[in-house]
Amino acid sequence: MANVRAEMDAFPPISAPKPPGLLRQIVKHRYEYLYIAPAIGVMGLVILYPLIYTILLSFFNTPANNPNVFFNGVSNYIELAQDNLLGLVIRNTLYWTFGSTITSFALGLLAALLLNQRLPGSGIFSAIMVIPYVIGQVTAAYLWRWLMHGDFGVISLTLMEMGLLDRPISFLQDPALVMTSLVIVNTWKSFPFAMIMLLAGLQAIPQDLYKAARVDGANRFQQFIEITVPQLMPVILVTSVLLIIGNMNSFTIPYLMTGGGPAHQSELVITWVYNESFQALRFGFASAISVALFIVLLIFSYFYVRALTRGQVSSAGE
Amino acid sequence: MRQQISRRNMLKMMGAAGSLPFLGGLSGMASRAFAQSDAAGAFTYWQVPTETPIETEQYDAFFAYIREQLPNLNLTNETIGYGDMLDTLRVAVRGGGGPQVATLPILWGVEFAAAGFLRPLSPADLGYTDETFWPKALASNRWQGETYGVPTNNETLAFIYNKQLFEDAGLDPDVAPTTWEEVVEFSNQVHTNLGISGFGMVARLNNGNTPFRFMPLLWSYGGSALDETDDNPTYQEIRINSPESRAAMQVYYDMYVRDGSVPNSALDNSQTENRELFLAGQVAMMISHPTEYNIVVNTAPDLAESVEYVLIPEGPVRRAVVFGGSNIHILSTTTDEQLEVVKEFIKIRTNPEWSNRMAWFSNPGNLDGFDDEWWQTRSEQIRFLNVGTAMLDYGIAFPVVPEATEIMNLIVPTMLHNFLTETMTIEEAAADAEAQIQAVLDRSAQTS
Repeated sequence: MANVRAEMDAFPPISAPKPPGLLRQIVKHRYEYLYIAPAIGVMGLVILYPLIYTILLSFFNTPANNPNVFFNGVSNYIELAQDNLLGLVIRNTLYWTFGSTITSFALGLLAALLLNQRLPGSGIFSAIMVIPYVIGQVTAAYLWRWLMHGDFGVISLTLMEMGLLDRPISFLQDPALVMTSLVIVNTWKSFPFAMIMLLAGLQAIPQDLYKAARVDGANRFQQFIEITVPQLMPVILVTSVLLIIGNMNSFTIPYLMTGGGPAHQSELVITWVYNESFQALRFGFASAISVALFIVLLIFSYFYVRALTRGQVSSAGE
Repeated sequence: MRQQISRRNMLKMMGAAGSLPFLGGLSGMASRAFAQSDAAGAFTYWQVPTETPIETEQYDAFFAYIREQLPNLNLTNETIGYGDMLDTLRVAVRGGGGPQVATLPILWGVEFAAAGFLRPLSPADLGYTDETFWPKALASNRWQGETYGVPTNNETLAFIYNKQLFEDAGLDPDVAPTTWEEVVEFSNQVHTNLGISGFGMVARLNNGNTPFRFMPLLWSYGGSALDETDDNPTYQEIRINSPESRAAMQVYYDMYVRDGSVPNSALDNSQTENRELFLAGQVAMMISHPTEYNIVVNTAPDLAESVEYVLIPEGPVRRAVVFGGSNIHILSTTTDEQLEVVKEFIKIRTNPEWSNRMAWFSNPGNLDGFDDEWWQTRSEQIRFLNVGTAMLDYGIAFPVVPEATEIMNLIVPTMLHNFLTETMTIEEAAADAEAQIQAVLDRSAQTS
C-alpha cells in the first residue's frame, strides 16, 4: 500500500488544462466579435433594452391620469401576490400550457409514427397535417372563433342538424368549456410542429437496431419501448421544452378568441399582462407580471439549453 | 316607404337644389360660409372609419373641401377602427407619436386630457360660443376647469325591433315594449314561440358597445356607476352596488340565464355580431343606432319593411340613454407653428354644415347645425333619424373622469360576465365591481 502511495506521489495526477478566461477568449476572437457586433447591437436594442426597461418599470406606478411614473418599490409585486386573480390565472396558464403540450405531443407522436411507416399516400397526409402549422395564428384564431361561435358556429349547427343538440354549445362563453376549447384549438395549431420534430428524430434512428431486435424476437411494442423511445429521447426533450415555452408565451389564439373572458375564466398570464397594460394602463403592474413570467420561462430555457448542450458534450466526448 | 339614401339620390337632390356637385369638390353652401385660408403646415388627423357608402361620400367631400379651403395644408388622414383606436392612441401618445388632431368618442377625451396629452381647445378658440354646443357634450371635454375639445356630433341610441317576428311570435307588431319589464316578457315570448332570440344583448369585454347598451338599463332603474345621474355629479360616490343597480342587473340575468331568450353568444358579441343576428332574423329587438336602418336597407332590403324604431323603454325611475357622440381634440404633439392651420381645420370640421354631413346618421355637435339646410335634407331623407334625436332629451353622460374608460369598458362588462356566467351572484358581482372601481379611483388619487 505504501509503495502504491509512493508511486502516486511520484506521478501527481494529470489535471486538464485550465480553459482560458472569458476575457482572453474575447481577445482571442476579437475579429469574430467585430463581425457579429451589429447583430449583437440590434439584439441589445430589441431584447436587452426592453428587458431592462420592463424590470425597471415593474417598480413604478403608471397612472392613467398622469403622464409621469412614480416609484413604488415592490408594491406591484406585493399586489401581484395578493391579487384575487392570481390563483385562477396560474391554474389557467398551467392547464393551457401543459394541456396543449401533452395533447400536441401525443398527437404529433402518433402522426409521426404513422408517417414513419412510409405507407402509400403518406406524403399527401404529411402535407395535409402540416396545414394547421402554416396557417397564420390570427387566421386560425378567427377561423375557430367562428367555428365555435355560440350562435353561428358550424360545429354546433352541424351537431344540431344531426339531431344531437337542441341548442348551440357556448364553447367560448361557458366557463366550464372555454379552457378546453382553447386547448383543442392550440393542439390543432401546434401538433404539426411536434410531428415534424419527432418524424425527423424517428428517421434518424438506425434501422439495424430494429432488425437486431426482430432477430431477438422483440414485438413492435417492445421495439418502441426499448429502441424508439430511448433513441428519440433527446428530440422528445427538446420538443417538449420548446412546446412548453411556446405555449406559455402564446398570446394570439387565446387573446383573439376570448380576450381572457368570460369573467376571466380563460385569463392567462400573457393575456393578463396585455389587459393590465393596454386596457387598464397599469404598465408597472403588468411589468411585474411580465418579470415573474420571465423568471419562469428562464428556468425552462435553462433546461432547454442544458438538454441541447448535453448532446453536444457527449458527442464531443465520443 | 321613404326613399333610401344613395349616391344617385344625393346627386339628384343636389342637382335640384342647384348646388355644385359635392363629390370631389366643394359645395356651394360651404364655400359661402368660409373663405380660403392661407394657413399652412402639415399634420396628421385620426378618426374612426365610416360604415356606409353615403358616409364615405361625405368624408370624401369634406377632405376635398379642405384641400380647396386650406391649399397650404399637407394633411395626413388616417382611419383606425373603433375597437382598435383607443389602445393604439394610448400607446402612440406615450411613445411621443400619434396624430396632432383626432376625433374621439365622447368617453375617451378626458383620460388623455388628464394625462397631459391634449392641448386646451374651447369653442372660443374657433370663434364659437359655448352656447353653440350641447352643455353635456362640452362638459365631457372639461378637466379641472379647462376645456380640451369641441363636440363634432352628439347622438343617442334608440330601440329597433322586427315587426314581422313580433307578429310571428303572437305579439302585436305595432306595440313595442315601453318598459324593460316588457322587454323581458316579449323577449321570452319570442324565444318560446319561435326558438330564436328575443332581445339582442351585447356584453363583449373591452368594447364600448357594451356600456352603451347596459348603462341605459342601469340608469332607468335608478342605478349608476358613480353619481353620473345626479344634476351636479361629483364622481366621488360609487353606486354600482346599490339596490337599484342590482335590480337592473337582475333584468339581464333573467333574460340570459333564466329565460335564455337572448343570443347564446351575447357575452362575446359587440353590436356588429348582434346586427348580423338581427339581419338574419335571429334577434327580434335590440338597442341600436339609426345607422342600423340604413345597413338593413343595404344588406337585407326585404327586412326593411318590418323594421321599426321607437324610444328606448323606461325603467321604474326614468327613461335613459347614453349621451354619446364624438369630440375633436388637439394633441400635445402639435407645435405652436401648426396651431393656426389646425384650428382652421377644426373650425371647418365643426361648422354647421360639416357637423351635419360628417355625422350623417347622427346629430350635429354644433347646435346651429339644426338650422342648417343639411339638417333639413337629412331629416327628410333618413328614416328614423327623428327617433334618435328625440332620445337626446333622455341622455345621461358617462362620468367625466380619466378612469371612465376602464370603468365602462372593463369593470362593468366584467361584472356582467361574472353574474351572467354565474361565476358570482349578482350581489357578489356588484360588490366586486364596487371594489374594482374604488381601487381604480384610489390609484389615481394617489398620483393626481
